[in-house]
Amino acid sequence: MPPEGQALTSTVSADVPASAGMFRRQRLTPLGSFNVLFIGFLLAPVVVVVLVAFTPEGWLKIPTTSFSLRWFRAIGEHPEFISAFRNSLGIAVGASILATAIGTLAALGIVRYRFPGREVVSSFLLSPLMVPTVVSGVALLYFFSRIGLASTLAGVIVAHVVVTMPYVIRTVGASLAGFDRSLELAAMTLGANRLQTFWHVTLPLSLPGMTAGAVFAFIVSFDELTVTLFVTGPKLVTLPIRIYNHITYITDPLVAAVSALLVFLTIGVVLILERLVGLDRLLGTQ
Amino acid sequence: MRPGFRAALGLVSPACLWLLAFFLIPLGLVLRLSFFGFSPTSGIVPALELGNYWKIFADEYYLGIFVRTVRISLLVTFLTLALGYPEAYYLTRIRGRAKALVLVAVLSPLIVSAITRTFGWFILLAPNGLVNSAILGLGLADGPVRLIYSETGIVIGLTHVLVPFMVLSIYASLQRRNPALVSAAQTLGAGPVRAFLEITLPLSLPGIVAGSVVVFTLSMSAFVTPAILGGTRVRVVAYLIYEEFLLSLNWPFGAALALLLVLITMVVVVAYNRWLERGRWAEVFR
Repeated sequence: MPPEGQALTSTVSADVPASAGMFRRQRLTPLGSFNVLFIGFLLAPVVVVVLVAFTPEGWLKIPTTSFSLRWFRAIGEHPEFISAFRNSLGIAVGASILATAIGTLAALGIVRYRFPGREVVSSFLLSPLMVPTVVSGVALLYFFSRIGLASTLAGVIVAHVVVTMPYVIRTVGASLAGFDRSLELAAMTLGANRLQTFWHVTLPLSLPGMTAGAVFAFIVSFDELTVTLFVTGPKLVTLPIRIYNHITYITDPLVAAVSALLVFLTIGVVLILERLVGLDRLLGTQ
Repeated sequence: MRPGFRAALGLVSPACLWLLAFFLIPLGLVLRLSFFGFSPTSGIVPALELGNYWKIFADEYYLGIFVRTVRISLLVTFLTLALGYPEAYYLTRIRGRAKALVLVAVLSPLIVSAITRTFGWFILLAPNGLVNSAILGLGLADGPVRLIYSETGIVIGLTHVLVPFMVLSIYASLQRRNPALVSAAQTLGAGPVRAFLEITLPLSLPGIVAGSVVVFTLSMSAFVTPAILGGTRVRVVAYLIYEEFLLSLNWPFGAALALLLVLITMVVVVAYNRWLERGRWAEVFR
């Protein structure tokens, strides 16, 4: 029987639990085995970093016989990683709050109203995604050095808002696409003015999109390296820059330990999102 | 409509002003900067001339780096397509929880910190890393293959992080197709292979195009991956820009490199779109 037919029949008899179905199909079809290899390829580098973080050796060895926490303890002896983490956290919080506030308003304006030049405005607001980050970084460095914002906290946050706002606009825009306008009309009929309607109806309805957009902006900002490398200086080092500088200088398991902590943090965020919104809903697979 | 227009204007203007001040104006300034001269003693010399651009075209060193960047990006686009298509096809055949899990795995390179996953590839591809052990163990080579600090390493790292864009883009276009068309082709006597080649594949072309454009654009301007896996030994244009701006301090020349990078990327993307949309399957783009 051709693989097509097999995949089809196992999809049809889907009264078995979904995960069991997935494993069965992986065993049966070439496409399923490809999927296993492909996901292995995608996860391999992360798995390796996490494993190496537990090595007892002094070099990048995947531990086979014994595991050790020595490199996690070693982070404590490197306060520059901890201060960089703190910097990144502050920048990401500031940038994601600003980007979410400004971006949500813009998404509401674009999705909810039809006005002349709407298409132009919408592509302008997403344009930072189209321009290479190196180019944005260069442009902001030149501009900031002229207005005195280079190597300042404010400058880094301003730059991160530019980079992260398009993600917020997209996420909020997508979540507002199925927005029921009659709810607002109902509120107005019941005597609410525009501001009250916005505050009590529109805003709460856009809250799930805003939350997802804010998380997105936070992750992008926290991980941003290229633009940050240009606009910041030696006095304000973020975690990605600290790790980058460390790797170009020496590659030891210390960076693996720091990275492993970041991976655990990311898994934590994904699990929280799963609890709060549900991955099925978040990824639209239902 | 009028009050609606005013409301929309109020909503989008903070975002528009932000990007005008911190994105569009800086980009304009950099465009002007790329025509300025530079002298090691007095720094930037304001003048309008094409010297920086001639310097790029006259020097085989710079041209070589541009050619390498295009070559890497084309290869990455091809590889993400070859790997991403079957995975996207697989995604259309599973549902529910299994699909959510596979989607999270597919998105994982984007969720995990750029530094973390690149460092993972650094460990895997090192001369004594897992990949080389496998190659030697299988007797595929006599000595360790040069994988880091080579184009191969950059291509692997970029394929890994950019393949999610390809999968999602193709998946979206496969979702939109009408399954009845494939059944109709098979009723009319087409085998599964022919039905795929003549119905499914052409109908997913818009997804292939959108995915390739995103992947090509992002690999042309990628910085973090080539910087860690290639560094000074295998320079790409983005790395060259970084060196000009932060090490040589010849900002006008760096600006010219940046604008040329954007220009070449746009030319390739437009040519690719033209070529496909005028070809045999022009129909599916309407």
